[in-house]
Amino acid sequence: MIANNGSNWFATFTIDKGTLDGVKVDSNVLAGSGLVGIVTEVGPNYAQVRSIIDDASNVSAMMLSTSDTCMVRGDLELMSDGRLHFEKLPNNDNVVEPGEQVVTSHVSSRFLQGLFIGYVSDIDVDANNLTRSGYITPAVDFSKLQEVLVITTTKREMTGGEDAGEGE
Amino acid sequence: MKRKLITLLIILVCFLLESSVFHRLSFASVKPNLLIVVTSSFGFMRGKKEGMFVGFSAGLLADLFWGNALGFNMLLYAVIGYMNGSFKRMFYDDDVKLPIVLIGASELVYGLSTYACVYMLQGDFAFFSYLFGIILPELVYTILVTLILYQIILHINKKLEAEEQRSASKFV
Repeated sequence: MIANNGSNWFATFTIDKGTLDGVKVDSNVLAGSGLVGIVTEVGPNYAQVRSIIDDASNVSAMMLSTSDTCMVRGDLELMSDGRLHFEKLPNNDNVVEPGEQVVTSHVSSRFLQGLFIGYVSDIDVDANNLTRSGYITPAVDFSKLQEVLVITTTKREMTGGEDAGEGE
Repeated sequence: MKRKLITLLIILVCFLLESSVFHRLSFASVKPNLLIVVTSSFGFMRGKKEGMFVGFSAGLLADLFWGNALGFNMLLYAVIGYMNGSFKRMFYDDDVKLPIVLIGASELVYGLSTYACVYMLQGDFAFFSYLFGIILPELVYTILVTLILYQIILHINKKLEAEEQRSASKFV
């Protein structure tokens, strides 16, 4: 990682690998064992990555044990705590407890399946009684990122573009 | 020519500092906004036009590397530089209150505009949590950094002006 975002409103950073190294837009970025973000812009020698804690970031995720899908969103208010918010988890009979592992789901159009995001720290049933939401503690410490791993195969390449016609 | 190069160099150095060093020195995960300090200082030290150009270049750098839409930061910083330039007549070298007030006001305008355009227009109305979580801490930290950075910029400006006066008098 060569540069952070200097503004307090965004959580993006720049890395020193680009198209000459096989990095493409929508390549997933990992650090240690957890998901860090996704490449949004790329040049010959650099790429800009948006972290999952950024306010504009949405990751389609699932609970590892039950495979229920949910949406993990970054939030500006939680950014300083280093937490993530998740929502739209179905309120079915599957028990989800704090400590449950959250990974990227198989229905995401931009993230490869099975990348580890974090652990559930809180969970509540929503007012509509149909979904649950809560907070996730990410596996990666975003304030101390130095080196990241970029997966150069994008999800679109892996699915061969056949899923392009199916619903988002 | 020399003045332009030095000005660009100051902008570049502040930009690099903000990207790398100040991320480690962040206080409550808030970084100071050095580009605002530079834009405001050049604005009220040198006038509207130069303040506008400094703001434009600083905003351009910020947009290319950090922002989403090209032109948002550019426009905001250029306007802030221009507004600060209209205070040139009230500026005296040894006064420190006016610079701090102006820089504080510019920082506040920057924070509020960013919130208004990027978050409020998308329907995110958690204004008070952003105010106390980001805008005010950034304001305080920026003012603290101003006490040092402003003196440096003032010093450089004085030296440049002294040199320009000397070379102007040679033409007589």
